[in-house]
Order: sequence, then structure tokens, then C-alpha cells
Amino acid sequence: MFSETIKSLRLHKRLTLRDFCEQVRLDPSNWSKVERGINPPPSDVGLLDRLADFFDLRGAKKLEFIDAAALQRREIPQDVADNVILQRALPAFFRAARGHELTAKELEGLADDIRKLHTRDAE
Amino acid sequence: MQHIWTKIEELRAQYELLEVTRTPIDVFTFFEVDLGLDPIPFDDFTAKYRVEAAITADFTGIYLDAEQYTLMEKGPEWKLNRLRFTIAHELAHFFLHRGLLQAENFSSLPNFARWTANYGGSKYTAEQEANEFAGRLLVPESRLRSMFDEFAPQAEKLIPNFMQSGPLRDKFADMAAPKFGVNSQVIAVRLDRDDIWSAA
Repeated sequence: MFSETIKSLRLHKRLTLRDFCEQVRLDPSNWSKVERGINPPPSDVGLLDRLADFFDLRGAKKLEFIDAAALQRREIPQDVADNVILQRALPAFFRAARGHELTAKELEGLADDIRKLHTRDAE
Repeated sequence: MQHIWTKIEELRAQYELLEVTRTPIDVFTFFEVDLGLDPIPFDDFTAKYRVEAAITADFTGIYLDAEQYTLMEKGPEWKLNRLRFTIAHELAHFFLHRGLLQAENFSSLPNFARWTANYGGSKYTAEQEANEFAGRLLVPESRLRSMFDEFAPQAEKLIPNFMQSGPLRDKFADMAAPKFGVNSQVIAVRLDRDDIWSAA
């Protein structure tokens, strides 16, 4: 959960909510609700970027942090939503997530099929 | 009150922020960072309920007046001191009364009020314990005593039997208070409770 992650990052830096909010220019009352999971995480990519930088999150960790915000808002991360290839793969992920696990062979087949959909046909 | 003093010594040994040399004791960082309690800014809390802070019923957070919390370092010193004392008071409930309160599992507010009324056999004992905890936590006895020990010979030179002087005692309390980040009334109580300089 984004809310737990951000609180734990803040506590790791030994910052009070007030000091943290002052440094990243947020309102403590609203942010307290985000950390307690009452308000949804921010959707503003600029703010999420700023927070990730503040906590020195880079690469995969930064992406995971931004994804956690989207998932807690019950949204598909923006870069996934914008990516046609990933969009096509999503039904399979959803299916797996609901317990209808695909076998390794089926997953391999799915990956091949997706690749074919985005590869020019041989003449 | 010995059990309260013992508890405080245990806490001082456990948490660096509570060490006697670190006054004013940073109860704000202590409750948020060391204890992981949530600060919950509450709009107009003080204006509506005449309190600066209160621990939540499940002991996972502390409600604070939103404006005071946000602007604590920009307002008058006495307000910050009062908020610091109130937080320390609420922490007393966390450390001293949490187990008792949770075991009771109050089903209603009147039940809770009845428990408070009967706790320790007298109406305000839980609150008195919390005040004792807060005062002793914020004003370490050894520090106050050594300040007094420095002050006493000079005072003796100026006023024989200075211990009988109420105004001088008040003056000492005013002088000591900023070192501990409390209002001078708290020092006056500590001088009495810690048997350093009782009111004449």
C-alpha cells in the first residue's frame, strides 16, 4: 500500500509529518489522511516524482512507488494504460490474478502471440 | 508516584530523545517517529473542545489542533510549551493506562466515564498521574536540582532565608522554564513534587 510505504519512508528519515510536509510543500491535514489510507494517494505525476526524488527512489524502486499510488487509487499505472502491447497482455494478468492461473506453457504461448501481433509478417 | 518515575527512567534508557540532557524534550518526534503514532490534525480542535491534543481511543494516534500543529514554531512560546506538555500528558495515557483501558473494552462513553471516575479510587487520579508523568518527563529531576544547586548559593548571598521567598521562587521558575520548554507553572510544581524547593 502506498500509504504505508510513504509513512515508513518518512519515519525512516526520522521526519515528523509536519517537517516532511514543510519540506515537500504539502498540507499536513490532507497528508495525514493519505498516510492513514483515508484519502487516495496523489495522482499528480509531478508530485509523485518530487516525492520519489525526496526519498531518493530511482529506477525500479521509483516505478514501484508510482505504481503503488495508482494501484491504491484502483487505477492502472499511466504508462501501462498508454502502452498498447501491455494493454493487450492485461486480460491475461487479470485472469491470473483472479485465480485462473495460466500454465507456463500457456504464458509462453501468450507471449509469442503478443509478439506476433507487433511483428511485421514475413513476406 | 514512584511507579511513574520508574517508568520514565525505563523510557529514558530506551529512547535517546528522552535523555535528561536533551531538553526541551522533543515529544513531537518521539511520538511520531519512535512510537509510530499518527499525528491527526483536527480543525478548530482547541476552539471547539478546549484541548490542544488527545490520544485516539485505539492508541494509534494523537489528535492535534491543526493550526497549532502546523504553525507551532511560529506562534508564541507559551502555546508551544503548552502543546508539548499536553502531548507528554497524552503519552502518559499511552504508557500507563493503555493496557487497563484496552482490557476494559468500553462499549460506550458512559462506561468509560465511570471507569475514569473510579480509577485509583478518586476521580482525577488517571489525569493526575498523566500530569505527573508529563512534568517529570519534560523536567528531569536531576537537571532541575543541579540548576537549583547553582542558584542557591547566589540567592543565599542576596537574601538570607531565600527559600522562604515566594517571589524569588517564582523568579527561579521563570528562569528555568525555557531550558525545559515548559511554562513556569510546571517548574513550580516540579520544585514542590521533587522536593527541591517547596512553596512557603
